Amino acid sequence: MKKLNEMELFESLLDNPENELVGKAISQGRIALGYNCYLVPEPLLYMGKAFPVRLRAPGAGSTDLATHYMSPFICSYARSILEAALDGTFDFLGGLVFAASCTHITRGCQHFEQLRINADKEGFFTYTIDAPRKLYEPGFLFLAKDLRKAAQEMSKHYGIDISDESLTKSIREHNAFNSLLRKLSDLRKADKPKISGTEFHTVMVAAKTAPRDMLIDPLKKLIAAAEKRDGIKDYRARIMVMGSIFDNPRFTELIEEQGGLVVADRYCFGSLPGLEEIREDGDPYENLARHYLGTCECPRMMEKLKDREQSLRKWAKEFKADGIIFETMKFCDLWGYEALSDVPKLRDSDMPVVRIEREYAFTGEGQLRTRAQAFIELIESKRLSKTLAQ
Amino acid sequence: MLKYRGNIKDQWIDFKYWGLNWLSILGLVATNPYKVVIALFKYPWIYDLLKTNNLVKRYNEGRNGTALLLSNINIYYVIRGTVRQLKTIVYGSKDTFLENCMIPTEIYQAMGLKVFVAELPAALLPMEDQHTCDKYMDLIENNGLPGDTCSYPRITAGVFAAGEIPRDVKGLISNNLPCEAGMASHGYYEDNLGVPTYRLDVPYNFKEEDALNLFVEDMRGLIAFLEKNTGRSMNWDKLREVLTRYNQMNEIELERWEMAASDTPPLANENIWISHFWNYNLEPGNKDSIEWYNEMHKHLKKAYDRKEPALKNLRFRVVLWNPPTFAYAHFWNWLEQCWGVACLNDMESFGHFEDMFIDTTSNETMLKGLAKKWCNTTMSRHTRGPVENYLPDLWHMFERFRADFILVAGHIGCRSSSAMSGLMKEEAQKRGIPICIFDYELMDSRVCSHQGIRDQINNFMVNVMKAAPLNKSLLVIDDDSEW
Repeated sequence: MKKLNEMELFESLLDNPENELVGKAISQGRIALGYNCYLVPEPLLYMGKAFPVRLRAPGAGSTDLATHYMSPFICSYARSILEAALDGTFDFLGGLVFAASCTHITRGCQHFEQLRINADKEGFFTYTIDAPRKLYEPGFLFLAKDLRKAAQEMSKHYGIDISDESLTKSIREHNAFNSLLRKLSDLRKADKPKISGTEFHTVMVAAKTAPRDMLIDPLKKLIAAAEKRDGIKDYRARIMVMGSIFDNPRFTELIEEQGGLVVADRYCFGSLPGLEEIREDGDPYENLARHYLGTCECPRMMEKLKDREQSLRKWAKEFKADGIIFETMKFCDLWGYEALSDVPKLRDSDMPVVRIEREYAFTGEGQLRTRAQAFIELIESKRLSKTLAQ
Repeated sequence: MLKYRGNIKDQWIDFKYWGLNWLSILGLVATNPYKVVIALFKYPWIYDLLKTNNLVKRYNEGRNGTALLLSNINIYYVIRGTVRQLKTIVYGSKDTFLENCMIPTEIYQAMGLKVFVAELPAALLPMEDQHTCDKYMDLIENNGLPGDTCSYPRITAGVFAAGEIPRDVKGLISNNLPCEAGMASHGYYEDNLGVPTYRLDVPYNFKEEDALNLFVEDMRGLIAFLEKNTGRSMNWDKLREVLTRYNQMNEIELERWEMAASDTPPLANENIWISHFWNYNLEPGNKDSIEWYNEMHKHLKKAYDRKEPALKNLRFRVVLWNPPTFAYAHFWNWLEQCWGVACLNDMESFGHFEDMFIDTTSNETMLKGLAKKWCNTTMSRHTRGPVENYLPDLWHMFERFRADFILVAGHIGCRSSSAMSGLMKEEAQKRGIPICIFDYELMDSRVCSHQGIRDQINNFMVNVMKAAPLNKSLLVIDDDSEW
């Protein structure tokens, strides 16, 4: 399929956390706030002159220093982020808002404070949101209050307007931007999708690492261009990728190079969940709390295992996935247990599933390629058997 | 066989508790032998608990006097507690709740409920026999669980997958303790059991008043859940009784800490953490717990007055960080005999030291006190909350117990503590504190053998502490295939 020129900007934003648009926004006096997890609501960090940058470590390789601090038995995403921080990659940030999401990421983020990363920078602050692990009314109210506290830090250090009106405006803009992303995402549902998984993955990652207001026009142009082109028809299987943090489209590209077409993305940095509309009426802080806890599909949330399984099946059906790649980060206990429950059930229901344990950095390419190839062949052979049986 | 200990008094102690242990075990059988036989088929791991007297023997090799007595008392009460636990499943489990090992059990006691701790086999079996749980770990790994997760929940999940944890239970109660693996493992049970479930969510930043109040609300939710599913009501007077006993335990605990800080600490090594582990995590405020604590304290005070230290050759005072070596239960005895090392406190036992006592004046104060207690319990406080709890507590312990060095049991499956290892080393270096981090796997001695652990200690003692062993013949022992 012909490459879209409109993708170039998005692709260029992924090489460095301090990308062209981030640099431009900072030069305009805006404040970049780093965050680590879906549970840190983006609209919160988009208030006033602030904008969020989700922490990534593109080009991560050796994590020697971070491994010294955190041991080799910790998820390589947490280590890579710390390594990047120690290398000065995040020096451009004006603050960090973390969520105590999982142990690895939380401990990794604690090192930012302990090692005083950026601590001497004027105005710099860190705040850790205590996100409950279950859905209940006191938990929503507690989180809403905690989000207000995080906002107060933004106000205290940078004079950002954190009023309800300001946050509601931010939510409205967030919803408008997400409606564009949803439009792009929906193109994947067609039998001949007009956008590849790699392209969509690139856009999603870029949208989390650059100011969204600067991406609106490029995104509109991209959607228009994609709609005009012919759909993809030369794929062998439609794949859903799910699991741990997944912010390198090169992985998706590798799967697609083998003939798979990644049509659904249920992982951190993905769109399932992530593009749902947030309520704009009522208390905006409470709305954020309810929305982000309610839609979070991370296994850190207790009590939602069955719900997660259901939404996984729902999405697989909606995007017509032929198989699921269940990718988990090595040493991730949460996804390890999730796979223990989910994988056998999916297999029993005749959904081809392959479990891939991987590192954050793009390593082991040959092995991944072989496994993706084998998986696609498995899907094809199952399809063939079914056809013959009929 | 019981080995002669050199004097009649010690020999009598050995014999007495050997007999009492067997009597306790037989007490389980005597009540209903038929059901016990059935249970042995359903839960075959119970057989391995019969190795307990061998464990006592391994603990007490070369020990005499009060240390020997305390060790025997500890195991005896653990057996009694285990028998109590087993009764909740052996005689039928339909009205029993399956629970996680770190739930406010005071509430069950107040409501008179039957509970079985899912992690009980995982906690006890590797202590009895280092290889007895290998099959459970292999089974669950074959089912798809990564082999690098903590072996504590991994064994439990294996026992569950083998069908050797009761499934016909009244409900499941769990939480997000002691760690994420533990929390996630209960999702697996919940998914398979299909029984009413309640999950407590201990907040991350529990020192904040709002977070503590949130947990109080959550505990109210647990009480409402239990009332709904059992038809019983919360008995607040009973809770007051339980918490009063818990407060008495705290008074004793503080006195124990004072004694441990003295020149002649009468209590050391596993005798500290076993009693604390059981009485603070599994059955705090239970009648047996206070009896156990009182019994130990009576002998401790006498030894303290006589200036009788727990070790005959006490050469090094240490504090232990991270969970103790379950798959090498008698490691402590080796440490005593080979190097004269006494562990005077540890992470399991060193909970919060602010507001340890629970105000029992009203239902509100009791709930709030309970919330604070469980937010600050072992591992909740240290290995999942803010970093401020993890390292400062360690330095505080080091000074408070006048330690010579810190022993860190580097359990490779423990993400939270592994992730702090670098900061810990750097900070210890800045403070000039010798720190011995030995790598091991909590309950899987195939990852790091007993000798593998000993080698790491031997290297540290020779190279850092510049010490010579008390007994050279103990430096290398071939015990990798033994119990």
